[in-house]
Amino acid sequence: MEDRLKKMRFRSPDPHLRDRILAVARAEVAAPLPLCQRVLRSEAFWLAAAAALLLIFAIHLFSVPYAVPETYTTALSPETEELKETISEMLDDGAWLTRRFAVRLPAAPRMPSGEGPTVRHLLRDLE
Amino acid sequence: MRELAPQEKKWLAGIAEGNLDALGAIYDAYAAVLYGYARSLGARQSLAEDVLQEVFLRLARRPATLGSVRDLRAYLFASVRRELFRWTRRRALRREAQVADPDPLFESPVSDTAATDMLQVEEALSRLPRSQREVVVMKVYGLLTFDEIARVTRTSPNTAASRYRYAVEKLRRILSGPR
Repeated sequence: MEDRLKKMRFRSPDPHLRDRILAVARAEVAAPLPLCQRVLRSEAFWLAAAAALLLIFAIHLFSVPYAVPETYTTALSPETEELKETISEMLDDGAWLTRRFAVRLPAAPRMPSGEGPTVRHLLRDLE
Repeated sequence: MRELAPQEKKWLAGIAEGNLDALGAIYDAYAAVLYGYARSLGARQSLAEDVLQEVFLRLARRPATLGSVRDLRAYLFASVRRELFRWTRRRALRREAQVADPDPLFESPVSDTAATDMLQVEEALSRLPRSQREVVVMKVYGLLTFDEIARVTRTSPNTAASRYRYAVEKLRRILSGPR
């Protein structure tokens, strides 16, 4: 198979291409581009610029205090206010609301449902 | 890794000194096979010529980088591949590929029998996946070793060798099939 392939010869490019390339190369060697154009044409410059932009974006992204809830505190709707009151009563002021739809419960007390084994043992002991 | 041939060393040193005759000599030695390689990767004539021009102009523009070249042939194949893929990203190749290139890949032979054979081989090559086709071109026409092909295609030598094996098997199957 290789022999059969080797019998073929690739078609050559345009015979004037060689002269065109050499003419352009000669012109460039004779009058090299100014420094600013060389810099603008270099891949290293554009890679460095892209890396710098990414770095700035990353610094900006990580410096925004997304995690601070006070930044996003909004007024509570009447329903949520009511819910807050209810929860506060249930948890004896152990809870606080920071956002309209987010309720944070610090060390929320476990409410015995009456179905768990602990409660069953407790009830048995009481009996 | 293949050592630079004395002639290649001389050419590269010549380019580094600004001698453009050396660039012409490299062109004479490798342009046809690099042009065929670009064409076999799907580039039409005009695009293949643009790619070739860019690759050779880069040699002249960056003589300082040529000092690190240890294998000129593989370096040129890798340059053509990289330049062609850069064009592909610009969608030029996709546009080019929409119109079938009427010009054959190979030189037209003298006899009718050889011409028929050439068309069959060209058609069989075009039916290979591109990854296999480029390995065949680099191996058979570029005379690259599997190690060199692996470096150009950024795969392992085993992958390059197995792609070549599959390609040859497939070519054999296509060419021995019903005509």
